[in-house]
Amino acid sequence: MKKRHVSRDRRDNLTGYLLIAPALLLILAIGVVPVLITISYSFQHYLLTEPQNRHFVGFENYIEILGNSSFWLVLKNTAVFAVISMTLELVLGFTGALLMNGAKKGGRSLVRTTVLIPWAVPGIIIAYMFQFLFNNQLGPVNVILSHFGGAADFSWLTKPWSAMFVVILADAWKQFPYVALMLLAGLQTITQELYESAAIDGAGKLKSFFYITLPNLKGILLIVLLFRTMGAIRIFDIIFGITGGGPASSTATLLYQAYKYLFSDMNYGKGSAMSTIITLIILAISILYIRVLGRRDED
Amino acid sequence: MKKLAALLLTAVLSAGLLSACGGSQNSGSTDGGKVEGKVTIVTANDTTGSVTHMLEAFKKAYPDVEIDHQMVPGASDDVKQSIMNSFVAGDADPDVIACDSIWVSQFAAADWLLDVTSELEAVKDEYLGGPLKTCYYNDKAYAFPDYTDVGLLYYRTDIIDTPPTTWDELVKLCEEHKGEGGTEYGYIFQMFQGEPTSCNMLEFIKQNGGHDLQDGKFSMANENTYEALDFVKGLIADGTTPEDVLGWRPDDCVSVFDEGKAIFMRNWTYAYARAQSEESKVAGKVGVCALPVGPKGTESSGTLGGWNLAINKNTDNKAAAIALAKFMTSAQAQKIATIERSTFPTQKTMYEDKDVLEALPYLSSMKEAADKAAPRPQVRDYPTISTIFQEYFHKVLAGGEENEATMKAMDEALNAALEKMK
Repeated sequence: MKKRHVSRDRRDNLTGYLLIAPALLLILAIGVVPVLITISYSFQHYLLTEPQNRHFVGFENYIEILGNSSFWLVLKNTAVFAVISMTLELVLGFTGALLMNGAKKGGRSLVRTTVLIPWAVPGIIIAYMFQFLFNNQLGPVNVILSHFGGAADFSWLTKPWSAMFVVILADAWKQFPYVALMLLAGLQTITQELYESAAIDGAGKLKSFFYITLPNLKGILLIVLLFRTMGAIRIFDIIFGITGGGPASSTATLLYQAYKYLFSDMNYGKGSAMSTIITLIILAISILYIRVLGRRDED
Repeated sequence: MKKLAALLLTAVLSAGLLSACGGSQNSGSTDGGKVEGKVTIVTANDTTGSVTHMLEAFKKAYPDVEIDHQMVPGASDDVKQSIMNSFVAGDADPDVIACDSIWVSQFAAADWLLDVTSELEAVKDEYLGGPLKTCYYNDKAYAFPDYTDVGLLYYRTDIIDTPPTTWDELVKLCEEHKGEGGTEYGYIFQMFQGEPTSCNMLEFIKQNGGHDLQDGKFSMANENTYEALDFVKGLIADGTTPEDVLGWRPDDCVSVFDEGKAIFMRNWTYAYARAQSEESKVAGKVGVCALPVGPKGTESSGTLGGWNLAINKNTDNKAAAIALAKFMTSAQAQKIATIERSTFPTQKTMYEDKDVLEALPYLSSMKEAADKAAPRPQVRDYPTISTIFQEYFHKVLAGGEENEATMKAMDEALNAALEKMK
């Protein structure tokens, strides 16, 4: 009796595995295999310009990258970019979510659609849009600022700090709708009764935000944070389109540097090593976040 | 039974092998066999329509060839990336590519380009020496010279009577005439952190008697270089040049100059056709001359640019691809290109051609500048060297770092990169 049960279980398992096999194979082929290939490239001397001279070099590519001062510069740039853009996105996203949650029924769908527009526009288009907006000759930003006493020809993209400001702003504008939408979904799971009983107990709007809204959104906030951190570290299109890493490499990020190694120097070994380093950084941060997430679930 | 199958298989395979050999031999001869079939050509964005007209002329000469002309928008770096994607994948398309002269060695070293030594050697006397040299890598030819390019000084003839020959004269003229004729700036050039920075800054340095790669190594940390860097910084600081040049590519300069906002502009040869076109506000008021010389320099120096036509090694229509590349760089096609887009021809006879000189009256006097244009360091992997130039020049120009220490660090980085290429 028991034996038959086991074999049926096994058969069920087998069917299950067979059913997910195509999907698994696909993930292996387009997800796992390329990563493994990249990692193997990263330990090789592999220049497209030297097709005959490809050989194993151990950690040489890594040592070269980490020993170069420009790595630490792009790491710093990436960190500055990630922290500031994420903060901006969270603030804007939260505001957007609260507004959408409070909107009257008629206007609600209109507001939701409008907010989504920046997110649906491809990054490279947004990059060129912002390049135009902040162009000191033709850009509307300077025209508007000059009406309020600003310099009519302020050169945004040629000073390290203001160039960084523009790329951060462009990224924040593109990504905040995603944050807003995720948080809106979270807001709608909070039952209205909680707020009602809080109001009866005499809690003000601010108090209910900090003691009801925020704690209930913690889980979704952490997920948003995780995705946006990954996105910010992998930033490329915005930088490529607006500044090309300049001026004075002040907006060059990790992935932009990897692109330079791969497509300008045609150095697949070094480019792959850089990509692997980026993956490791993202992995480390993700593990950290997931630990924090896990801890929340326990208590 | 098994043996029989093996025998059959061998027979079939060797037959296939033989026919493959025969096939490639046939298509290898360009003169004997009939040139037909489809050819894909990729060029940079053709704003003047000249490439289209050249291709129409080709169509008349080779009516059996079908051409797929693809244009890639953006600057040279963007074009390179899109071409590279096909090459890395080993595609048979595109068959013919427009290839920036600085890519030839890199692409040839990667074994992506068809060896055209015998075809080019047959006609090499028709071309100028400088551009011809950029088609070679390790004594083998991998491209045909399409047009040559050199940094030139453009000026407003309604404001300036005699163009400057030295930096001092240039600055003085800017001070005297800025504001006239709707101008806002004196001198504009391109310092976007990319290839523009390398081309423009090397030009300034060489105008001031400096140099890049010399006797197999870089020693650029010297007074000639510092003075050139200070000159550029000074131009920006005193408002002769807008700070924006640090983010400008050639096209950005063309827009500003064509709006009538600048007296002087450094740009490539193509800018002339654009400045004289109907959309330009300065049409009919544009003069061209060689770039001015710095205080420590003795003669003008413009960076050698230019584009070649190369053929994909994996092309499936060798005969037509070679015919196309050869035709597009012939005197017949170059005449169209030179007149319509104002780029400098690589065919010697064009500099004396009546129709050409009518369209570009300054061309005959520019032959020397074109022939003498200074090439960027001719090493196997120039882009790696260029990335270092861009990074360190920008550190001084935009990052406010000190000349001497930065240039010394640049020499070190350049020589280390050079060592790796040996």
